Amino acid sequence: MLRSCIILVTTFGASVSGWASDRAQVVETYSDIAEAAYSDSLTMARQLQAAVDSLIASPSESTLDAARSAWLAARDPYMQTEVYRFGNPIVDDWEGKVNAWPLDEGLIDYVAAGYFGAGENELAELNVIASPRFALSGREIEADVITAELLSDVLQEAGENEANVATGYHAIEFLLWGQDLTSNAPGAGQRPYSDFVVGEGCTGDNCDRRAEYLNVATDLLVSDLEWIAAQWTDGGAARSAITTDPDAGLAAILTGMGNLSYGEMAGQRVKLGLILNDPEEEHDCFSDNTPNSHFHDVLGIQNVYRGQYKRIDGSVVSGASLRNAISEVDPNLANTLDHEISETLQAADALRARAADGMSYDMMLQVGNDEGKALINSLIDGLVAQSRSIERASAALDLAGVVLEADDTLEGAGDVFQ
Amino acid sequence: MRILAVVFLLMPLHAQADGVIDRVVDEFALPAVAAFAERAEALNEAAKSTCAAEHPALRAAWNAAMDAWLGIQDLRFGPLEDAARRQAIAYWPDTRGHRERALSRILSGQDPILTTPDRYNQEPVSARGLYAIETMLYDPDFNHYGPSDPGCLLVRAASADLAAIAAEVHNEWQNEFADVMRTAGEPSNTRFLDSTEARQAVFTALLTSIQFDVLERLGLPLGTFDKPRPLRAESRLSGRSQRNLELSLAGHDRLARALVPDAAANVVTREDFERIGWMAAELDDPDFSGVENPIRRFRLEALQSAFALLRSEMNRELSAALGVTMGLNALDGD
Repeated sequence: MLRSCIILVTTFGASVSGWASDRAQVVETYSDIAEAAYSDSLTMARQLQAAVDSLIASPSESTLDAARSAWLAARDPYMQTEVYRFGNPIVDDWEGKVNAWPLDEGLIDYVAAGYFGAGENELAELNVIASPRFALSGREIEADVITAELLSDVLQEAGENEANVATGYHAIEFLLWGQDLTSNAPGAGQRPYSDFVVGEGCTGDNCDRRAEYLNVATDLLVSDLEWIAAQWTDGGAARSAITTDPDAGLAAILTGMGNLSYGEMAGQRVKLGLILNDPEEEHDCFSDNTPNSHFHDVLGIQNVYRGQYKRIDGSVVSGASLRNAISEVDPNLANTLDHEISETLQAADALRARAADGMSYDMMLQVGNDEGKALINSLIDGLVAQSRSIERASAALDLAGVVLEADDTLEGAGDVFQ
Repeated sequence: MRILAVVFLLMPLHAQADGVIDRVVDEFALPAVAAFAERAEALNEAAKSTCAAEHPALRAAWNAAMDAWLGIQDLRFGPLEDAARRQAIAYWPDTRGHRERALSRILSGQDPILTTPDRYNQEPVSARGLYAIETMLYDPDFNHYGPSDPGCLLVRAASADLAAIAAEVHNEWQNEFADVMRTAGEPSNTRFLDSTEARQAVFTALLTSIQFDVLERLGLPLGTFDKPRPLRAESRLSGRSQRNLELSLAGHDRLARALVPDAAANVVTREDFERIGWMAAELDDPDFSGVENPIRRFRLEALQSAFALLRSEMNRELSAALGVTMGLNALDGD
């Protein structure tokens, strides 16, 4: 249920004694947006599922295109939920099922000569689609039928290697596009629809198993999203965790915004690809959708900050926001952070515009592409700048130390040894 | 008088000299970045005179530069964080094998960069810096080059590039960033709005670095009991994994002392440093290959626990002494 629409505009001019209830409203809005965004992600994943069904039933250019379009559309709401990853252990523990990355795609299907897996990954070229039987850590695995259990319990992170990603958006992306072998010109992966033609006309071999894999992986995505969306409904575990103690909830919101901006995006996802000049380090590397995915990550941060989310049907979920809460104690900071997030969003949008204009993200990553480098660096700079304000916000809200709520390693031995 | 007093109160509070920051800058940062720049330049000179992978003088120069890096790695703010200099100097870990691919690409001539070595700073970080040079000097797959081979040119280009970055870091610390830290809280300072922010940056950097030791320097080779990962140990090629850890710890100790010189204010932290220093020195496991041996593995696990406890104690004691809490951690995210 989405309650916070009703309680919009109540926070201005609140007295100190009103803080507790205002903060309670902020975490309600935050939960409402999570519920709506995961629910939208689920809706779009179901549309993807329908498109995949059509592709498998009658493979053609047009059914493959439709499935790809459905995947792209499904990414937009999902990326807006990434801001919920850090700070919400329920989400963080779950998200690897749906968005683990980067992956050694040779685990799943055929790859081109010259493909490299991660170091020490004996399954980097397993190609399970071509292998009804294979050995895993000395165990003989029977994979005559491709099942959800095979993907989730056997292949996902097999051999304790994170590059073994068998489920989620990126596994599906690889099956729909194939490897993107061109990084010095526009163009995503070029998998032909005939890779899904069962019987005569099949390309890439094992088309039946490829279709089976795609079908199972898409079903899993749907059921995983059903699960997480339920965690944010009234009485759901993720909603309860965040709303029980509003101060801790605000801290978790800041942690999510801060860690996504700084450690995850500015530190790893956006920066590493650039400084390694490696198209394999592109987040949506098969589909060339990376600018869009970065954009929606940042948009998710803005949604949470402003307490406002535009749903896929155009309706708006809104309510008391973190921005309101910061405005009460430090209006300048509230405005600065808002401005910074807008600038970051513009920087991400500039990547989309340039990609639409012929310079795909993998081209931007090429050695010597100064224009691409400058475009990506401006996104990184924006993310770093807003991180500083997010740190300041935690102090302004008297939630110092919050940002390490998610840092289990600080509690001593803890999770370090997992 | 009363009016004057009110006016005075309304004036912005100018930053007061912060002894903590002065100590961090003068006793820790500036000498360490100067030493690193000097060692990196010495490596550059050594490589110019001989690029032979097994030449003792070249290897000694590389080791000295690595030692000096471990003295500045805790500076996770300012010049080392700009322009991806940290990664250009020390891109590690590299669990996806970027380094070997990047070096092979250059050595095979697919990339003509070696004809213009002064543009080596355009290359991916995986082909640059201390660990790339380590691979060239110590990895049997890479270190069999002769004086007229691409490998020789690469070692020279990478050493010159490293010396240039080290000089930039030194220069920026000395001529810009030291002042940025010292003037924390002054109206013109947009980086640190008050001295607490400057303290927090140092404190966060120190705790992050210890986390790096726990999760990466020790955690990566330890892997799990069933699946130890000895090949993932840092500087396994040069057989200095243990030395790196010891020097890393020594650097943390120096920085912690600059932050809080009063021993009474961090009793447990000091004890931990002493105990862990002893544990690390006693390891007798230069490249951490002991992760595969149950008894030697136990020592490494104990050391990892000790580092984690140090971090947690330090968080408690130094946080209280400095009046700050940890900020955003670059290692969060994955």
